[in-house]
Amino acid sequence: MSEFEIYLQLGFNHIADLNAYDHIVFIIALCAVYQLRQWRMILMLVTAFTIGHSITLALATLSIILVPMELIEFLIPVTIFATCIMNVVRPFDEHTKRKVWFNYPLALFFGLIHGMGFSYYLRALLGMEESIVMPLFSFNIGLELGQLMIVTLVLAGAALAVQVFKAPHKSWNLFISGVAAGVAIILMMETKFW
Amino acid sequence: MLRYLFYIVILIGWPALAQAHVFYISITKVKWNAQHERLDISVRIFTDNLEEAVAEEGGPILKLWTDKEHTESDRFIADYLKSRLHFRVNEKEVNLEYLGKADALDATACFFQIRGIKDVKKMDVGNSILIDLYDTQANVVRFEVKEEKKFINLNKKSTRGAVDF
Repeated sequence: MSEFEIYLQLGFNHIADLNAYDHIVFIIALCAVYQLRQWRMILMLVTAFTIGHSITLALATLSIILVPMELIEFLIPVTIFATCIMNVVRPFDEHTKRKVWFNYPLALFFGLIHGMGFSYYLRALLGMEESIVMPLFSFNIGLELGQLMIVTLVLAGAALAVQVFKAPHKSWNLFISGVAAGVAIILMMETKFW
Repeated sequence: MLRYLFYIVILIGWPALAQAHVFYISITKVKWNAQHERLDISVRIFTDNLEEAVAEEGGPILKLWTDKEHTESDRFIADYLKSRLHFRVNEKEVNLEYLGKADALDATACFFQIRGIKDVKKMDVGNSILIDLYDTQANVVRFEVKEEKKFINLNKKSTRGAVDF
């Protein structure tokens, strides 16, 4: 296998890994307000996430940032929880209007902190003397692919709920956001350190 | 309103500070040193995973890279890794010689060598580091012989692999 394939596989498995479900939950929360016909907005979200990754990739490559892992890991469930709250407190119709931009910086920010986590871990595993550009690049592509797979599954779930079971999309959003927020809270409680 | 929400989230999210990584990967690098006729090997593994693995085998809590580090931590690490990492070079069983370790951010780099390797045509590797502890553990092995690099990704489903040069 080539270096590219190895890290691509690691990245994909990392997103799809049920033990590391924080990413999955974030993506679910991010997609809860959308349906398949809003694929353009979802594409923008995924792109924002990718841009976030790429910024960290560039910074890590230039060895500009080495943020403490504790801070990064603290921010992950916080972002999930914040997304769920936003899904629910905002009037539902506004989510799908183009002027609502809040989710894009959120996705970008999430991509940014995740990118930091991965570059830190890969840096630790590859050793300081080695370039992490190629591994990180392939790893990130793997993450994006894994992410698209989860987005697809969430949208299929929404289609099933709305088209087949005739549930209002608003209820689907409330249900999914509630589940994700619950998971985010558990993630926070589990890691209590005082 | 948003500002208060932010405070609440920070308050609830604070415990997550202590969350450990959920990233189960080790990277082993094997490089042939033609001049000295040996293989230089480094195994990079997350320090907390390594400590857990040694403890799981009945060893002590090593407390690596702290003032309270176990005085025989090197022996326990060498024993553990040698029991999980095996090489065959040109169809012959070879022995790993432990050299030492280094602190690398959240990971620990462990160094080994295999002496008396005059040429490398084929290498077999068996790597089951941490796989009995973590279902999703992935062990990447990178071989480098005469500027040529080859990669193998091992996991619970397949703990053995081989490369030809």
